[in-house]
Amino acid sequence: MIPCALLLLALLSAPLQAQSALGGCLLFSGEERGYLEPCGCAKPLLGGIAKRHTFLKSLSGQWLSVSLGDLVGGDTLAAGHVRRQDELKAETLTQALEIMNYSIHNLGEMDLDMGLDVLAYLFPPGSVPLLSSNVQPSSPLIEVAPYKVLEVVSGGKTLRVGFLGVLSPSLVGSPPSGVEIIPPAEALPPLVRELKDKVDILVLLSHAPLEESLGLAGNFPEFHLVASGHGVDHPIVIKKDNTWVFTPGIKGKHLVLYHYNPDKGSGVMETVTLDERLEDSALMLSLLDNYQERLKEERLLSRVERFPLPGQTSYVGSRACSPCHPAVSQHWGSTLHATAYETLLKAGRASDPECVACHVVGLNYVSGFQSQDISPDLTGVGCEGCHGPGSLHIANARSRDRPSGLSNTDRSKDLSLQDGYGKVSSEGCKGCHDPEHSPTFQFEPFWERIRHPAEAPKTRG
Amino acid sequence: MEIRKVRTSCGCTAAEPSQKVVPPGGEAYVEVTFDSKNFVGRVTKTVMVDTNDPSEPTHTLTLEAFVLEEVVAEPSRLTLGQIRQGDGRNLKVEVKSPTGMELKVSEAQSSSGALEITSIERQAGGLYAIKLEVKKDSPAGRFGGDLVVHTNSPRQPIITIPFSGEVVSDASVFPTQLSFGLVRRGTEAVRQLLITFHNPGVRLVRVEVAGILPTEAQSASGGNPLQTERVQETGPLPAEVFSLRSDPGGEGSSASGGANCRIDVILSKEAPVGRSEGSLTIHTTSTSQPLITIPISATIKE
Repeated sequence: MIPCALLLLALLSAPLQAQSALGGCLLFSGEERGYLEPCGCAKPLLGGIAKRHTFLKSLSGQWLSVSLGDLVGGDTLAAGHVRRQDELKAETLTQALEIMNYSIHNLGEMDLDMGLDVLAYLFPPGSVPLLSSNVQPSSPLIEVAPYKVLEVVSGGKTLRVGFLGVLSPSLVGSPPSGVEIIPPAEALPPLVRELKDKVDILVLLSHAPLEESLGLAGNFPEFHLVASGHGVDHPIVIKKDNTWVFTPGIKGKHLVLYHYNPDKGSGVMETVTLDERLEDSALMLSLLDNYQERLKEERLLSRVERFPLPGQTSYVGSRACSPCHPAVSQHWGSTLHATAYETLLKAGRASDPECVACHVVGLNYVSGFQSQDISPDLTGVGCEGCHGPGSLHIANARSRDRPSGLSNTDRSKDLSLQDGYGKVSSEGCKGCHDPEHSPTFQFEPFWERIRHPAEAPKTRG
Repeated sequence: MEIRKVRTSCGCTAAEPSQKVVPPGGEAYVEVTFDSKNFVGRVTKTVMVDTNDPSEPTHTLTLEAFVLEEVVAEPSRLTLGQIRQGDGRNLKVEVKSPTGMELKVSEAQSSSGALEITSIERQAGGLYAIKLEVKKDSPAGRFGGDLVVHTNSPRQPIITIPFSGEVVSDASVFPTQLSFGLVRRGTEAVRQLLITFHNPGVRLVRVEVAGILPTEAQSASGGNPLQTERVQETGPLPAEVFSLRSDPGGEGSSASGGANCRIDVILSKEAPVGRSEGSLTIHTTSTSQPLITIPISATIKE
């Protein structure tokens, strides 16, 4: 457990203008997790390679930039996930890291999960160097350095910085074939001994849970910095004895900067949030356009996993609801849910399965959205997006619609929710209105924006 | 002390201070609510408390939690690595409830034909064993997807186990589709292809590339099915749209064989505006994979 005294931490506030005053040294970004840009639906817009590049260009002095691992990962369970999209994201990110002149990428478990061939493809000779002191792939295609010693000018002096990197075996489970993972406690001692007197700053890049990183900082006091790069979504900086233990958080939304003053023999840590104050870099925007076009060229939308719906039901499209529910349908047409797909088209993201999933109905299901041409009635967040697939409900309504001697009032009752269809829980909203894409979501105020009139079903003639 | 603002690191966490001003010697508390939906296992969340304390303007509270799952799968993901074609592989995923609920698994589906479910068995202790198989005659290639398990758990009616792997024969190529994406007109672009030979007796013979220049219709529609013949241009013929980096030893390929090789595919800066498509054909000495074809595409814009 983290000692309680360490749970209360002071972080320096980080106005962006102040950063260039640091004058250079080390810069750390956390797990990338395939986060190329913030979702346009989220407010505020945080991170993304376009803002990061702008920030890096604004820095004065010499900086060694370090990526803490996991080009991809995270939400493989998300709707619209296609594995090939992860690979394209990883390729775009490695291009971005290269453009931003990164010095090191520490191996994470999600990097290994992509497969050694893919890693070899992403990191050809001459690209951003891969680092790991305890992961040894057997493939001759991949070069993974056990350590790196790099020079950087800080405070007017040239410093030698030694980097070691570990991946926690606890994150890997059974390593893929051709990969050996050595416990950090075995891998680090000889390398620490080798480097500690040869460098001015010794840094451990720890792709491990924060607690494990703190443990490594305690066991290896030779490290001046321990950068923890797994599973913490917001920056944390902890001074543990004489070692700074920190994490920049995930998805490149924040950075941690370290400036070492050789005269004082000490350093300063700062955290930076890459927020909307930063312009987007034009070079990175063109990289993102290229990525989007690749999604289109490779027709990833047609490669989304599709499952049959349980219980023999299927999606029918919002148009099918309107004959019995005209007032509700008319109201729905005036909401942002109805135009969600158009919003995506305008944003140029209609070929991105991960975006499309929340702007149409049923992308991951056999009877769900396929394309605007094939399934136009399933564009937007239609009736079934909240209420579920409606085929059985319509079939039930039709079977009850036969003349039966019921009055209109009785018939309305008969056609109400007695088949169990249509009940909505606020939990269902959170599939799309999740913290990443809709951080300010609260059911009541959001419901007010789309609240439709209660309407007894209109019987068919 | 004045508490100016309380911020949380994610929308899953809400925090509210009990009072805005703390008198000297007094105390206040911050009530934090964490929504554990979308989380399992160890979770770390932070709450930032901004105050008027000049020495410590922001306190960061770190919260650790372990979110218990009603249903767990072991393993929780299947990283299968490379499987030699003809070997096949049998696997098992166990699904159980650590909370002691009486678990029922009604159904399981695999999203990829490469990994088939052979049985779902209820075993002692209330756990379910889902047996899976990569068939011996599975076609060569990378595969990935999700194993989706339907349960009677109200909290976790569906659990998903991602899987990935590759069935390899004599050779494999990455990527299996080579897209250049959006390229500005007049720019040369390069993409690399990685060929890995798994059978030491097999080598690369040659690589051929063929391009199809965009027609007006193709440009307008944004793509067309791969064709085998090139469109004849009537105007000045630009250089080959796609070509390979020249290699003196390789008859048009950048590599002349060996265990692994990288091939640079060049998109000509003369490529005309619109969608260009083509293919790369890799000839090998393999009897099972004498030809490997990779589609190529690029979109040139002004």
